[in-house]
Amino acid sequence: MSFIQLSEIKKDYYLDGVVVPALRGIDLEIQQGEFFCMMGASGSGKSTLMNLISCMDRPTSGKYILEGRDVANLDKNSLARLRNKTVGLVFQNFNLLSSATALENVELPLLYGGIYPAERSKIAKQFLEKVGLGDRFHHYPTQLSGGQQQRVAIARALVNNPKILMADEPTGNLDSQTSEDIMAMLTQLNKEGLTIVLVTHEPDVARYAKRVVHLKDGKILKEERK
Amino acid sequence: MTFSSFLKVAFTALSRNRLRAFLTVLGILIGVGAVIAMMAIGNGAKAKLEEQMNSMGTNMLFIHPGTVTSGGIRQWGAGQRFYPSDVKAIKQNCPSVAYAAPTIQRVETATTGHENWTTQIIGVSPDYFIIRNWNVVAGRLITHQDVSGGALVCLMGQTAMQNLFGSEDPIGKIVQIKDVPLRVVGVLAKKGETPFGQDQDDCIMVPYTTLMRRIVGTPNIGGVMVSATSSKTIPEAEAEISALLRQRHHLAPWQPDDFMIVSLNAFVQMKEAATSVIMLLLGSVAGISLLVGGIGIMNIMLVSVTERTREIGIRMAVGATEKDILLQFLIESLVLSLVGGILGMILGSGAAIVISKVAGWDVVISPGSILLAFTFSAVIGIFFGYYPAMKASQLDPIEALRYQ
Ligand SMILES: Nc1ncnc2c1ncn2[C@@H]1O[C@H](COP(=O)(O)OP(=O)(O)OP(=O)(O)O)[C@@H](O)[C@H]1O
Ligand SMILES: [Mg+2]
Repeated sequence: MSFIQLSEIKKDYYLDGVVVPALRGIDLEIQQGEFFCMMGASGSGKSTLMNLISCMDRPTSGKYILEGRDVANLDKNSLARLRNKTVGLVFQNFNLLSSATALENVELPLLYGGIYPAERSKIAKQFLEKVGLGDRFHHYPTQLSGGQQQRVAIARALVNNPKILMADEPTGNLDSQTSEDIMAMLTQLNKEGLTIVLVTHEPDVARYAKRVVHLKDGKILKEERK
Repeated sequence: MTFSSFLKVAFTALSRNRLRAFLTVLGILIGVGAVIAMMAIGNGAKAKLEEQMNSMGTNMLFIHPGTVTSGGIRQWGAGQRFYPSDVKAIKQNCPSVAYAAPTIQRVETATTGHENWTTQIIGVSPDYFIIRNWNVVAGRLITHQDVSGGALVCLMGQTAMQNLFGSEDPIGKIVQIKDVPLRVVGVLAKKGETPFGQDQDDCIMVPYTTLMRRIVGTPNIGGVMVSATSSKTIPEAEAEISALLRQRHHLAPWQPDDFMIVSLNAFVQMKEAATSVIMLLLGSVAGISLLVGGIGIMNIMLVSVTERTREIGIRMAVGATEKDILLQFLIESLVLSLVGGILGMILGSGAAIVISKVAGWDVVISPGSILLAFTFSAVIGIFFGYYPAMKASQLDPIEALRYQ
């Protein structure tokens, strides 16, 4: 069985009583260890689909199987559990806590995972070192460059050893050189066995992926493999 | 998430906005301060009243000549006079009366060779010392023989002694009152003030017979002082005395009493009522401040939740459950209210101590009132923090992340 299995996934938004269909029947399978990328025009539903796969949201209808469990019907607590342990999230705008240091930000998932303080900072430091920020533990987000902030976010996403890393336009706010560094890091992580799901509309970024799916108006338009 | 982690998050969040946090806790601070001060003053007043009541004597009744209406004019104390024989009759015929003593006193000037001092001259019998629970610290009390013989002896109250003899030992010395030479045979123990602020130690005691015959020159006494056999038999004693006196004064059933019986308990109740008015006033201040303080906490927590919507979204995205967010904000408001409560305790205790120094009131800060104040502020923090915390925990993670 596939690691991720979506069938007939639909998502409607309601805006002033008007139904806005964002996803209109998605069938998709992602295997463990894949480097998977979604592309498509603005408004095509990439972020909506990401939110569903990363357990931030639930579909209006359809079936979503993650690791053999039907996620569509899980309660909020179980979704929080999955976001904490199974899925790591990276955002376009980093989404770090501005009042917390790099180290504290990376510790956050461990905090909600019930890890004790001493253990927390030990693990968090390891991951910050892994993304090349061994000398930036006590810097606040505003004291870090965009690329460094995104590395902190990646360390945070990885710190609980998730099965899948999901990144919605992780290079959207970065210059091309920094983008390449970040993508090289993701490629390396994928080589180490981590499943990666990426959203981008930059072909330069998409070329790092082994499989690219194109979305249009909430449907899968075409799929390429490398 | 462990409790200490929650506490750390709460303190970090609050320390980011210290002034705001302080202003928010002001209401709680004042409320708790008022509770502490109120209880300290109330307990102090109660303790002092009890002490003073005990110093006056226990289960006491005073019998005075009553008012008499003659020609439409009511005259205080113009009723039937009392004589030493009334004292004897009351003690013998009223089973609920344990002890009875005549009351008679005059303000006179006492002189030694080189000092003089105007003070209360109190006529006493041995029962007087039992009723008033009063003893000597030096020398001896006035005896039955002193009374029956009208002996020229006296006892010194502490204040009178200070003024007449200073640090000298007065025993065996002579004081003159209205040219009557009296030998000091004892020094009375210190009593302190009555609940009405009178210095009980400013007195000289002589056998009542000596006072009547030698100093004042009167056949009658002022009244009778009685102690009931117990606090429960005070009403019985009153009824028995009343019946006896009506009979002795030959009053027909339609005639009103020509005497008055006053129980000390009436004074206690009056005094307690005055104390409880102060307590009620402070209690209202406390209640209103606590309520306003609670609303202040709720208000600032709602603002805080809105300001930190993105933070909540981020926490949810990395795995915080609804319960985690709820507890985070609940503990934050609890910390706020407890900080206010602790500052209030310090302020309230301080105020109580200042009041005790400045106004001379007794204050008692009990562990019970500290516990009560602590509980009060904790309950307020949880009660008024619950709604904002609930709102925070119900946010949708995606919308929260999108919030600008
Ligand atoms: N909360 C919402 N309420 C109403 N409509 C929404 C909401 N979120 C998204 N939509 C709509 O759903 C559709 C898909 O949006 P989505 O954010 O998934 O697009 P996207 O592919 O990520 O676009 P972009 O490349 O600009 O990020 C859009 O038409 C959008 O207007
Ligand atoms: Mg998007």
